[in-house]
Order: sequence, then structure tokens, then C-alpha cells
Amino acid sequence: MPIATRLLPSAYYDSVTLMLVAKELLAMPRVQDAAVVMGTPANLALMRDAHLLTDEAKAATPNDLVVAVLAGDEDAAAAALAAVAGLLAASKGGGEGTGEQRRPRSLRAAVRSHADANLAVISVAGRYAAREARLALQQGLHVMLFSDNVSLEDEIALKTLAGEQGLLCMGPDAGTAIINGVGLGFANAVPRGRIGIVSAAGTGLQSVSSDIARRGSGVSQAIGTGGRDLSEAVGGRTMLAGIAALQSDPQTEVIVLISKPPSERVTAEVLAAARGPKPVVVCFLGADPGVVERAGLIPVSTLEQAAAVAVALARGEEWCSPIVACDEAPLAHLPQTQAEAAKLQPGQRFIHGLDSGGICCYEA
Amino acid sequence: MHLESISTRVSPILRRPGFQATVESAFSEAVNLVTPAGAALALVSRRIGNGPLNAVVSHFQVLASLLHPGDTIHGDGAALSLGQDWRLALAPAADWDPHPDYSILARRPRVVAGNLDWLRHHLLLEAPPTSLAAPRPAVTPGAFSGPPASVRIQMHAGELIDGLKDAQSRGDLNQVAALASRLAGLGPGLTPAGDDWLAGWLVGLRAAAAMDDEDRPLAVNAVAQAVVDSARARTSRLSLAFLQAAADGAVAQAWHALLAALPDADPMPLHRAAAEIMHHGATSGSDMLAGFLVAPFPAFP
Repeated sequence: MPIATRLLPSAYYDSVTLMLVAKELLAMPRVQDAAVVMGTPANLALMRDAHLLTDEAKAATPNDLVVAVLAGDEDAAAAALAAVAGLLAASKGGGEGTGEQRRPRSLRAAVRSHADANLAVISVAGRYAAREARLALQQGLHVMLFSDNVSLEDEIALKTLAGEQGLLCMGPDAGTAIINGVGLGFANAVPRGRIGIVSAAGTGLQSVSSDIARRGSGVSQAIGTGGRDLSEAVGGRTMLAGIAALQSDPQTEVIVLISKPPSERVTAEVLAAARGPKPVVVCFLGADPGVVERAGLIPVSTLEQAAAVAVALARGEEWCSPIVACDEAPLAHLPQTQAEAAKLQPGQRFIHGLDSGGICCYEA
Repeated sequence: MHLESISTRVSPILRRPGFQATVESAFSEAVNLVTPAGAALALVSRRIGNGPLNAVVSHFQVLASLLHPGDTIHGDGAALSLGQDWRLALAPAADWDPHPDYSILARRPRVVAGNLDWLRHHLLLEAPPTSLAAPRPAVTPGAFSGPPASVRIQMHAGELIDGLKDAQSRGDLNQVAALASRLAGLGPGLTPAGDDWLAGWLVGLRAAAAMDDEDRPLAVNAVAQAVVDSARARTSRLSLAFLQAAADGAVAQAWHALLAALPDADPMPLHRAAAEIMHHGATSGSDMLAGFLVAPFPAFP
């Protein structure tokens, strides 16, 4: 069986990287065995024992990286060898000892090495976050700003800049998003589908997207805005941009908006912007459902209802029944609840529970 | 951007007018340099911190984005520079002695013994499965790649380590050198696992020697010299430089913390130091700790 060998002088990688590359090579078609090691005598001795030591490998020095592949035929061996550079680059974020064997350490370097990137996730200490986000927007990247402790003034400035550039600025303090099927931050793995979400509440977004998946449907895009977006000061800049994006997204057929109660003025602006050809489900907890209804949109009062109604709409079904079903669902548990209540002493009046996530607490 | 501290082992080299070095490899927290004379040293982040070959750089990430393998760095005694792009001032850097005070281990030998027991147990539980600290694999490897490669290395290293312990206890310096030469350079990465283990073993021998006055079958310095001589030309430049430093008793700041924590009855400093050491590299820290703990420390009932 042919053995293909390659020496990479002065190429230094850590042991885990080299073992992972060897494992990837072993998984390639017709590859029988592979070694990716520094060319020390001790390692060459192990290669000899494994029948991988060629004359070319014998010439290696301890400062050379040796790659040897034993395969069923020469084409397979050559293909595996050709893949090594890419595998090393993927493992270490760079090439084979040519000066790029590491991950980019700055946003500019990342943009240089990933010219086709169009979104930056920024998670640095708050006082540096605005600067990095501004840099990303100036480079033409959408931004998911995971960081918190960004000032209100910076948030407004960033979102204004994003609007001028036609970009999305999700956050600050945007904990979750799903963009083109890729989960960012604390996102849940959900199927892709026809329901788009814009949410000013991270746990609300997670809850609704998970519930949509549980009901057998999927999510086209899920855009987190950050918790302050619908405040009077910020004016819902990201939610408005998100609505516009989903209205023009051909994959999105139903839109869900989620928030704790926004300011009155911002509510009016958002609802006006949301009116369009696609059905929009509005879950602004604590807001007046009449206002939503008069705007021609569909009001719901819980996260569960939001998911149920969105799924029904995505299936072309009417949306009233799911709301009723959600309202009646607790009744099924009534006998059990009454049985538990009967065990309580007359003085026991409280149920103590722990719920994390702002909107979940609010809903509870 | 400036140098904050420099190991006394490399300070004279860096501060010499006419200094020149080439970037040999670059990682997220360290840039390794080699001089035309073959001396290895490293510019590192604060997170890596002081070490026998290290110069700690303020704002390392800025520097790292500018340096690439093959670049040549020059020094004029006052600063390091790469062309017109940047200058690293040397004057603010304090010299840091990489040689810890081994004698403190003799002050409370029973506490040290108890802490060493905890360390052995901790390492067994927490070391990465591919490290030499992991329990010996019971399976026979099928191929020299992926997990079987690490198993093959562990098995081979295990036999050599048993032999080294025996040779050291019998005072057989020739056998120590022979076995060390086969362990040196064993392992795939930048600092092969065999070298890390040997470095830890030499530090352990020095620490054990500091704990008792009995005549040892082999003087630590003789063993250290034999190991370094046998590893020469059998491992990479950088790894040999680390091994040479360990042979001289020079270790990174996390090891200073560990040695200081061993005679301490408070367990927290020891826990922190062990965690920091084991966090170093993929398996390097655990491999070195495994070697350290194999040294013949005095036992107490």
C-alpha cells in the first residue's frame, strides 16, 4: 500500500491540533493509517513501528512537522496529503508555519482573513464593546453585541450608525439570535422554517423558538434586539430594522414580535411599521391587546400563545383556536392542582418558585 | 507597549545591543523567538506570565497581531523593534528570577508529603486522558493516529518511565541517559510530552533532594546534565530550551506558586497552583506535573 509523506519545516502546532488532524485524515476514504508529528527520533521510531516511516520521513529533523498517510491507493494518499494544509488551518486558524497559524486577534485581522464574513459577534468587556461594534459596522458587518454595560448613548449612536449603513445592530446585551440557521449566543437548536422572530427579550426568543420547534415548525431568522431597544430613548431602532428585514425575507412567511411592555410612542411606531403583507403576531407582555388589534396585527398574551399562533399561521390554519387551546390547557391539570392544594394547611398561602430570564419572570 | 518583566535567564540576551532573533512560531498568548546562536526565548502575554524563557509584554495582543513567523526582531539595548512598525521599551522591565527557593520544602516535610498525596490523586482524576499523567491504557493500539497514537505514546512512555525510576534509584546514570534519550521528543506537539515529563521529573528530583539530607544515589545535577545531553538533537529547539531550564531548576511562575504552596497547610494555594499548571498547554502542564510527582520524595507514615 502506498505511503505519502510530507515534511513541513519549522511548522509548530500543539499536540491536540496534530492529533485532531491525524484523526481527520483517518476518516478520509481509503486511508488506513496516518501520523502527524514533529520529526523527533522518538516519533520516527513510532512511525517505523507503525510501518509509516518512508525515506523522506527519515530525513526529518526535530523541528520539522512530518505527515505520513498510508492509503489503499495513491490517489487516496495524495488526496489526504493535499487536505493537510486546510485541516491545520481549520484547527489553528492559519496555515502551515507560514505565519498565520493562529486565530485573528483583532476585528480587522478577522475581516482580512474572512473576507466573506458579514456579521460580527462581539463579546468583550462593556467599556470596549461600543468601540468594537462601531468598527464592525464601519467594516460593513452586521453586529450582534453580546456585551452588556454599554451606555445608552453608545447604544443609540451604534444603532443610528447601523441604520445609516443598512445594517442590523443586535444588542447591546443581546443574548441570543438565530441567523440563517446559525445559533448565536444562548440559542437553541431548532429546525429552519418560515417563522421569523424579532425579540427584545432573549429568554422570550429562546422560549418561543423552542416551542415552535416542539410544535413541529421552524424558524427562518430570530433577531435579538437587546432589552432597551423598545425604550423611549432608543426608539425600537433594531426592532424596526428587524421587521423590515423579515418583511423582505422570502423565507419568512409569519413574523413574531416579542417584548416586555415598550413605551407607548415606540409601540405605535413598531406596530405601524409591522403592518404589511405578512401576518404579524405581537407578544408585548402587559401591553393593551386592543392597540395591537387596531393596528391590524394579532395580539397574544403569553409566549406559549405566540408560538402556537405563529405555527398555525405558518400552516395556513386559523389562529383563534390555538389561543383558546393555550388558555384551556391548564384546566387539564386542575384535578391534580386541587389534589395538591387539599394537602396544604390553612395558613399556607404562597407558592415559591425560581424563574430565570426577565420576560419569563414577567410572564409568571 | 513595553516589556514588563524578563527572566534573568534571557534578560542579558534581550538587553544586549545588537540583539537579533527570528520569530519561530506564534500562538495566541506567546511568540517564540530564536537567536542566530540558537538561543530560544518567548514574548508572552500577562496571562502566560513569567517563565524561564519569557519576557512578559504589556498589551501582548497588539504585538501579536504584528508579528509573524519569519519576522526578524532587532534590539539596541534600549528597545526591541521590528522595522519601523513598533518598539518595545526594555527599561521598564524588571528582571525576574526563575529559580524558586526549593529549601522551603524542608521546613514542613509532613505537610509537603500530605499535599503531594493530594496532588497525585488530583492529577489522576483531572489530567487529560491523552496525557502521560492518565492511568495506563489497557488496550492495544491499532493505528498510529487519532486516539490510538496517544495510547501508543502513553504505553511507550510508560515503559521508559518505569525504567527511569528504576535506573535513578539504582544510581545507574548510563541507563538514565539511555532511557531519557528515548523519552525525549516523544509526542506530537510543540513541546513533546516526553520532554514535559522529563522537565517535571528533574524539578521533582531537585525538590526531593531539598527535603532530606541523606546521600542520594545520584546527584541531581548529574542526572539533569545527563538528561539534557541525551535530549540534545532529539527534540525541537524550543523544547530543549525548556528542558535545559528545568534541569537548572528554573521554572514558570505557576511552579513557584506550587512549590510555595506545598509546605502550606492551607489547601487553596495548592489547588490554585495545580489548576494553573494543568491549564498550561494541551497536556504539557499535566505531563510535567506527572514527572514531578514520580520523583522520590521522602515518605511519612
